[in-house]
Amino acid sequence: MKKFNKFLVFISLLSCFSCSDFLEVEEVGKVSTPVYFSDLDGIKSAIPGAYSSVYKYYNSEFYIYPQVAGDLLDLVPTNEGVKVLDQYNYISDASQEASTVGHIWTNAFHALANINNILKYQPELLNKYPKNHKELEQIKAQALFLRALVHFDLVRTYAQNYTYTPDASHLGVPVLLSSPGAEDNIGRSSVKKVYDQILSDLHEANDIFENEGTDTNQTQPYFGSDIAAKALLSRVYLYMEDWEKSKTYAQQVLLEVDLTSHDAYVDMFKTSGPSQEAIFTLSGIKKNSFIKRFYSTQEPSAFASKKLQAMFTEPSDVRLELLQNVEGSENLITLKYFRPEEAQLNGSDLPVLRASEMVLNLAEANANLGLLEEAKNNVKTIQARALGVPETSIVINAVTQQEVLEVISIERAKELCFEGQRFFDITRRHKDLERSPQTTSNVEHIAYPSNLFVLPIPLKEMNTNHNMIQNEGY
Amino acid sequence: MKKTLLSRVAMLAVFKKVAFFILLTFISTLNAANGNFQQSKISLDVSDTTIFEVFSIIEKEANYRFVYSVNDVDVNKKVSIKVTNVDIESFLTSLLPSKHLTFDVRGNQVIIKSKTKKSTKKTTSSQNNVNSSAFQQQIIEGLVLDQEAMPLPGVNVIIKNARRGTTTDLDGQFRIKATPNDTLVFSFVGFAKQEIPVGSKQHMEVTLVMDGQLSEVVITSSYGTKQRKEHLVSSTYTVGKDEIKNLPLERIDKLLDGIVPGLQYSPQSDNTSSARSRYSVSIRGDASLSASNEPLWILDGTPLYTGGKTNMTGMSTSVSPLSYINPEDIESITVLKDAAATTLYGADGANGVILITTKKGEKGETRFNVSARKGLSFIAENTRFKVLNGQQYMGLAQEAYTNTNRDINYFPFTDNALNTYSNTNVDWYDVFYDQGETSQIGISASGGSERNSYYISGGYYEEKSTLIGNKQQRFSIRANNNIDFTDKMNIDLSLGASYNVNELFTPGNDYYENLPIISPYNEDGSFRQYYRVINGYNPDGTPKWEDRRFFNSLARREQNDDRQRGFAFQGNLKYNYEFLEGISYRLQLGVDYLSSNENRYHSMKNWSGKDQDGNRVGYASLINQDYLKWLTTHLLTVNKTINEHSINGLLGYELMKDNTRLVSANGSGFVNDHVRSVGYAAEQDGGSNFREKARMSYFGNLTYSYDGRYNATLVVRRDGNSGFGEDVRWGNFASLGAAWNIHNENFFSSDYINALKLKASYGSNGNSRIGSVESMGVYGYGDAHNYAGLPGAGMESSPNPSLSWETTYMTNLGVELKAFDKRVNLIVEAYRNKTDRLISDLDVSRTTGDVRVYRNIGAIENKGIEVTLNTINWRNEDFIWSTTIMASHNRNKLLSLFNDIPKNNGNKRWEVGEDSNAYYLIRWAGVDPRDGYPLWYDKNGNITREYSVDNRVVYKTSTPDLFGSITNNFSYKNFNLRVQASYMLGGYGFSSFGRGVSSDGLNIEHQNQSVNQLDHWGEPGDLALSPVPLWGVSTKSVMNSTRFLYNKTHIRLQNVSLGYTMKREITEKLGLQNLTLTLIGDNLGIWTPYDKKNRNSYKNNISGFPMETSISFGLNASF
Repeated sequence: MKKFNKFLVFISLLSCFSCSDFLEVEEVGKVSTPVYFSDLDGIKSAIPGAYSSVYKYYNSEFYIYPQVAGDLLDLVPTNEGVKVLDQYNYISDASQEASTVGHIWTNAFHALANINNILKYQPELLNKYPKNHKELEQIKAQALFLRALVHFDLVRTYAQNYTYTPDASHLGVPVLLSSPGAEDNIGRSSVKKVYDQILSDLHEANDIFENEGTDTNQTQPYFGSDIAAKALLSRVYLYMEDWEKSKTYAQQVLLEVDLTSHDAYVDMFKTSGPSQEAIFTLSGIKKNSFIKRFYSTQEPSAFASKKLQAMFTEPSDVRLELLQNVEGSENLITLKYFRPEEAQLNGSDLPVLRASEMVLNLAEANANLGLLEEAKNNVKTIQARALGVPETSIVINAVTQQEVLEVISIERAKELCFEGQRFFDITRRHKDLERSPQTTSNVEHIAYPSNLFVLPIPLKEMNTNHNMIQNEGY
Repeated sequence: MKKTLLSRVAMLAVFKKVAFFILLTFISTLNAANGNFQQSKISLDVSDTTIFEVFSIIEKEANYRFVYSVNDVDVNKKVSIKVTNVDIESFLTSLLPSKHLTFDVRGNQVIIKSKTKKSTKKTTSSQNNVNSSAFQQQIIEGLVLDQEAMPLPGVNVIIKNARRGTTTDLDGQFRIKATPNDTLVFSFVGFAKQEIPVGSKQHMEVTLVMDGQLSEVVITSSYGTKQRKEHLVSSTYTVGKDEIKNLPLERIDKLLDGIVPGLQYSPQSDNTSSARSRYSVSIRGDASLSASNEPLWILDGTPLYTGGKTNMTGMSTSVSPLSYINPEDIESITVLKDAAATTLYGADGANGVILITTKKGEKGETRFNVSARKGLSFIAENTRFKVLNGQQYMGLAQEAYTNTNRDINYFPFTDNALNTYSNTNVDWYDVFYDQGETSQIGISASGGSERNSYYISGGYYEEKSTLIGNKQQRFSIRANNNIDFTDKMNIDLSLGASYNVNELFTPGNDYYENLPIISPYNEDGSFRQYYRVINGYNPDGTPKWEDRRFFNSLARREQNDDRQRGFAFQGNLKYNYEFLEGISYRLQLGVDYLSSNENRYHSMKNWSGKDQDGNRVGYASLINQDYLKWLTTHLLTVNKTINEHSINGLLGYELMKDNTRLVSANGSGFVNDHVRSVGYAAEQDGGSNFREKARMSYFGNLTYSYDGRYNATLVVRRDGNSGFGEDVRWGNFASLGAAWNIHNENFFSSDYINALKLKASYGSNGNSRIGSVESMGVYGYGDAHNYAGLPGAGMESSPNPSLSWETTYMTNLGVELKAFDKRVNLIVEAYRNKTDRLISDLDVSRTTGDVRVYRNIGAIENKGIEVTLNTINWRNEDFIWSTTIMASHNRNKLLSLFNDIPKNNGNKRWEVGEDSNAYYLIRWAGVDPRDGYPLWYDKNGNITREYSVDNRVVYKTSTPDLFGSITNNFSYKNFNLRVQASYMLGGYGFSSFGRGVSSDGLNIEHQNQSVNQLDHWGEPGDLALSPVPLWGVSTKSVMNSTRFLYNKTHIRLQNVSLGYTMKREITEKLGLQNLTLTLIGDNLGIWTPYDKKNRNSYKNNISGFPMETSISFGLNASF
């Protein structure tokens, strides 16, 4: 009996011994947010996680939306095409939670939360690990770059373009510098405020990148860098019609990055891995890719529109090699996302920023600044590369500023088609949407300005956030 | 609260129904009683005989038994009396013409007592000794048996008022010295006490009757505390082993179907997604929207893993761990329902607690028991979902085809080399169903010596379902040991394990949806993979033939593997040490372990094992999951009785941890079908998962009882749970209850009412069963977060640090009544459970980075009434008929929601003021007689031809108005018949099941249709059940609407068992103690008031699969 009592005492002691942290339980593969960010390993792997979440919203319709809402593509309303049919026909509706309207909003804010978590815990870690200052600052710069990108994408999708009102005082999107709680009900800021924040984040990111460099473990152009920050600044200023600044940053970028050559042009899209002129690309490694299926050569959901086909006046244009005939029909499909040698489980790399765009930004800025010859020369650079001829042999028959701008616009369409830009290029320039009469859409023409040029705020957001204001017309 | 309950119109309606049942039973009871009264008339002619002798004569001749006290009746007085054919009362009046005596005739028992019994009480005992010595003591021998004529060992036999007694030996025999005017009192736990006057008898055979609910039963309640039923304050219902012995053996939750008031056992879905439907047990309604609604199951003190919050087990097919326990090992099941009982389980008690106690050994000689059961089962024809035969199908399909102005020459199902549609008629039920079989064999041994007792058992159960390809096998063993090391120290060890093999095959909808005109086989007998149809026409106008894939489930069944093996183990060690009299310490260590292994292979011979392009691939998957729960409990118990004060106390501290580990592997690309293991697949991937949850609790319970009249109980519990945010990790719960035994009061005297008890309790408990880290925000690692080849992590849920317990406040009021010589027992309980801070997975502003978060918002109320009426309608020596009627009513109401915004939840809608199971549907208005198009009602009740989701209204609920059961027990000599029927009144069920097959032509090309489609619109003026059939055209008639809503009212003949216990002479010759043969029928029939011949109604749409009827034969022998 004595033995038993000893045993008893032992057991009692044992069970009390473990009391203090008995209830602290963590799951393998899952940890609570504060625990996760309590060390360097956590925040380091949060960076790929954040990029991954950005890839997710690009992949879930954001990258497609500016194409189907634009005029360069004819949609096949089967398979993957179904998901964006409403945007193609301009019948978006706040209740479309499970497609483009809800997806971009939800997934972009999800990415933003991932990014803001990094920025929230970074200062604490900086105090805790002073030796890792450089590394932590690089992490911060990455997060700031991504935060700017997400805000920029959201404001382009859910708000009218920057110059819609003279002072950009119209409704933008919520500006989030930290993740709000369930009860916080953050409303929309003006477009001006959103752009201010984007610029501030990009400048700060650029400064840090310039001081601290980029992480050598990261494969460029799959991660943010000073060039990426500058390139994005060039584009943001272009949207703001701040031509000087757009030009400055484009020039700075072009000092660092060269255009891909004529000979390597097709391979830039066809082979996996980064190309010469890539500035920022979202990596599709081991991603489930909607874009890949959307532009698949087997069951394509989109063809080049008659309008786009008509833009290619030179049959020797290398870019035509990326448009392929579908067997037994006139339809052309894009090969920009066709990588025959790539492993099945990889998704498409999504080019976000590349040098060609910078040249075209430069052209547009020059043209608007009245420097028409310089602008034409910029266009010639692109055209010469496309045709594989010296720039000097190119003649551009445009005289007025208007004509030059039109040439630039067409060149931009030819160069950047299917790369997630076209629709925004129309609206920021206050142009009407004009599709070719052969379009398969129910909508052929929409005059600028239009309520239809923004997507509605999703209904679930409206229901759960009483400070949210719906876009006009929805 | 009672007032509000009663004032409700709905409640009144229920009361009326209940009252009707009660009335019905009363009438039958009274008749029975009267019958007995008039039975024996007395004729007697004696002179100069003692009253004692007169009594003896009457006892012998007229089968009466006299009960009296020698203080009241001078039995030595000599009398002369002559009467002819008088009733017993007038006889007694002439025999004992005393004004002080009253006669109470109950059945064949005559109680003679003094009218002033209280005042003489004291003198009784003092005089007793003197008087009784006047009679010579003689030895009385006897045998005590239970209802099945099994000898009962250990029965207390005492002489009334004499404090002297004995117990029966192992053969149920007893010997006691007594005088003829003594009365022997026989008492045994679980049986009704019986008093028998000795009279002239020297040998007596006594049969004790089981007393399930209503007597001096000792109940094993929370944490093993034992309480006399009479002292019980809480709402507790116990089902004993005898009540469940002839019920189906497949799973233990099914045992409780219909036999516990307020408990509902129902399948979780009406569809065919799994041949092993998940079942829900709900006690007193659904108290939660997002956390679990399942009760807490506890086996011998250790909580049982029953799957996740909706009983999901992590496998592709969830096989309930409740099927891994052998029902034959169960001694009793106790269901705890109110706060006074469940608060002791704190944060897991909100949905009620079910305590399972396994059989223990009894001290004495080893006793073996062998049981076997063999049964056949078949699908109940009238619950089959009726579909068209080949000819009917072709007729309807062609009509639908031509209705859309198509040329019949291009009708797809035109005979060709591959298919002769015109004369094929496959009844797919025949393909997928066959006669089922159940077999069971169990063997147990129990016994013990002075210091220890044991029960060991082994069992095998096998069920071949009527749905071919489904089989359940259970091999189980159990060993329960109890050892007294010293008078003060005791160890109780119970170990149970089972190995379970489940073959799983689900045909999905194929058994009713497959076209009757396509045979599952090709002409050469191989499995069909293609069928040939016309699909349009060629440019030259000839029909264009097309071969389509035929996804043959029959081939899947024959060629694929889907097998689950489960090893389940429950172990419990209880160490008791009584260090002071009445004060003990107990240490309890418990383990619940479950290892499940699922092995699936999709054969490349059929479509399931081919890729999209039809290449032969073969897919294999292997999942292994281990679940382990352990707990340690330290208990200090006090058990003291001082004079009239009885105190029971309990102080406890408990630690509990659960963890789940899961490893899975998938593979595709096999060489051939012979190699079916993931390891040989060309492409392989795998995953793993681990979850852990911890809980720490302090609790205490104090029960006080005064003089058996006043009883009170107080419970407190403090629970900490790892699943909640740090700020709110701890929860406190408390409850208070009281009961008043009015019949023990001096002022209470009634000739009819034997017992009357009032009880009330109020208290709180919680529900913590949500996922494990919901409160803190979760970062997850994994492929989904990787980027550019680097491992990544991402936010999987956003934090809500204030997420906390749901708290349920329970109020319970009860009345227990026993009347007419305890022949009528009535328990009525009313309750109101209000769950506050409801955990809901709510939509949240996307700016948080998440779509939904768990929040404590809203409140829900369940209130209801439960009536249990138990009557012994007839009782004499050879024949006993008793009836138990149960009726439960529950009303569920959402009191508040997030911003009170209604939330749609599939077909249902959560709206403040409504039932949380209320439907939200467009109302179907039938068929337009003009053109056969569908009609609906709009929001305002006007008929419209337009289907619009804006016209949805909150309409009906799946909560029934009243449900329960009626059980009749008849025993005649050695025969025993038990008939259990369950019923449900009101409540609606939506059948997604019947939707696709009532498609009015839309799906007719691919799915067979319900016979209801034959009654369709044909020409203007037709008042038809179904709209005009239009091939491939949607008139939206098949969209969700009240068209597919069925009233659930039904009555079901659930279980009938006829048992025969061999006569003792025969069993003794065979060397057995007992031999019982039983014939059992399960699910013998179901009736609904809406049945129409050749139409489908609710009973055909119940649960995705037709009901299974089974007939089995059982044998039970002990020696």
